[in-house]
Amino acid sequence: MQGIVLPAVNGLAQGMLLFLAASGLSLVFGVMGILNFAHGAYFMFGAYLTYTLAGGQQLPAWQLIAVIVLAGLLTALIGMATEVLIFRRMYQLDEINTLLATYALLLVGSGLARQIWGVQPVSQPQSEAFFSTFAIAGVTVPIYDLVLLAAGLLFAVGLWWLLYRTDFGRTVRAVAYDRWMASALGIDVNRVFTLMFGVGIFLAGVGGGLYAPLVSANPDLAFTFIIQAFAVVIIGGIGNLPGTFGASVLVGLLGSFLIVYAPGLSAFSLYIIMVAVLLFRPGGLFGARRTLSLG
Amino acid sequence: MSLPLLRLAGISKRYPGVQALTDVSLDVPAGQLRAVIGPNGAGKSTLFGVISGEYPPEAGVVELDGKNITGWPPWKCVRLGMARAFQVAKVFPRMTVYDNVLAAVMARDGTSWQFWRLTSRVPGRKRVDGLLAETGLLSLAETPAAVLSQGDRKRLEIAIALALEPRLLLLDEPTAGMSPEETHATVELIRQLWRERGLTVMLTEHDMGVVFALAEEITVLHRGRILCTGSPEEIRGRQDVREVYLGDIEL
Repeated sequence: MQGIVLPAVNGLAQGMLLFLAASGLSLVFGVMGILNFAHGAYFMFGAYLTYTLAGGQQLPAWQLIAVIVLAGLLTALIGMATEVLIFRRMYQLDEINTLLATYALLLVGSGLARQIWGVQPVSQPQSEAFFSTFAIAGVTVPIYDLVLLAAGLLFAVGLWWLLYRTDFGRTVRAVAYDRWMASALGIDVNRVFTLMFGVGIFLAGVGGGLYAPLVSANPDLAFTFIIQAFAVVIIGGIGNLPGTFGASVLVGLLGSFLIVYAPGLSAFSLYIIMVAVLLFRPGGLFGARRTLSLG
Repeated sequence: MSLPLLRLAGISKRYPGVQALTDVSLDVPAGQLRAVIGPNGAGKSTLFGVISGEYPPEAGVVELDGKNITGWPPWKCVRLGMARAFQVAKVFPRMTVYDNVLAAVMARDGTSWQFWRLTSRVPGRKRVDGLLAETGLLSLAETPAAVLSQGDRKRLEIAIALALEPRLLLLDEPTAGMSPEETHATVELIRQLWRERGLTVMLTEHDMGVVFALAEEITVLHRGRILCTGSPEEIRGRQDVREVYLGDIEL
């Protein structure tokens, strides 16, 4: 039992982190049509800002949660500012140029972190309450895994709700589907872009914040997570948000089971799946969407 | 003579290598139905693009109801009361006829930003039904826009434009690609909408039958300049207009 429940909970928790990092990537592609390599930098800033806002101190659980949400909001503000100042100029470029430009921004972001926080990793201590464990079917699992699980589900449902159950979501889908047509209806497309960029970056920032107590924040975090997030987005079908969620869970679970049962494979299993998907189902397991579906 | 709803003064617009419009000035009084005609390449579509904010002009001023809107982005012109229907009808093809009009009604009401408002509680449904009835699309409400005939697609585009409750309606070749029956029905529809709603309408059209059946005043464009503006009778009688068309269109 231990051998199944523990990796399952771990894997699901890992999958939620992946989803937070990848959903914004998928969302920005779905709405604006750009592949944003710089996305990883926002994830990293979420982790660093959590550390800075907490003053590197161990905080009570609820305070840590509040700090992580605040870090996510701050990251979203930075994201929206960069959208207005920089990304807005990229929407007319072709994919190759966009990829190069956003990759350059990723390097700038990582370099900025090096300047601000230094080369040495910084660690946000975990809250005392989140160190404890919880018993499921006689198996003890870390309570923070359940926190990650709850957060991932909360944001996944929240995002779905925003996009498919509200008037604003309808506007976003209309813009994603045909930005020209939307502006002919009197919709300020730039404003939709900035807001949705902010939503995507908020998710990344919160993901980074939730990740902070688990690892040390360092400037390379920008790169490690963007690669994984990209792989997840490709596996799930780019621009397909439910697909991104499914792929995140799948990749998270696979990784945690392989660590237990085939540790030699775990480090690169993600890329094996990605290559297999690209070879045999290039649209992703759940189908690619150039735009968000209107539904 | 009432104040002009639309006023253009000294508009010039260049594309690389082409002077599309030169010093175009015109006034369209509120409530008028104005046609803009001219041979291919005269600058009609560019003129509409400048008015609707799609192509900012190099020189000149665009005023709507006394407000200088030169260089405003298209979405802002729409919010100020301008709606445009295109030569090739632009709609959301994967949405139903009903949802197309609903999207426009929502955009008009400004509910499109309300992330707290649920999609199930849409207040504009009655207005959508009204617009579909007015444009004769009620029986096609649940049809995906992609499978509509050319004529019905144009009607849908007009319904979308009307949902925006414009003061100025710009129609770019409203009968292009239509059968004679569809053309006739569209002419009647435009006339009816114009009369009943008190709209100001500006249209371009190749079909001179349509132009003379509808227009109160006609402006003739030639090589990006205004040749003349006048009543249909005046335009019909002018030698220079005939020469511009090289006699290949019977006026």
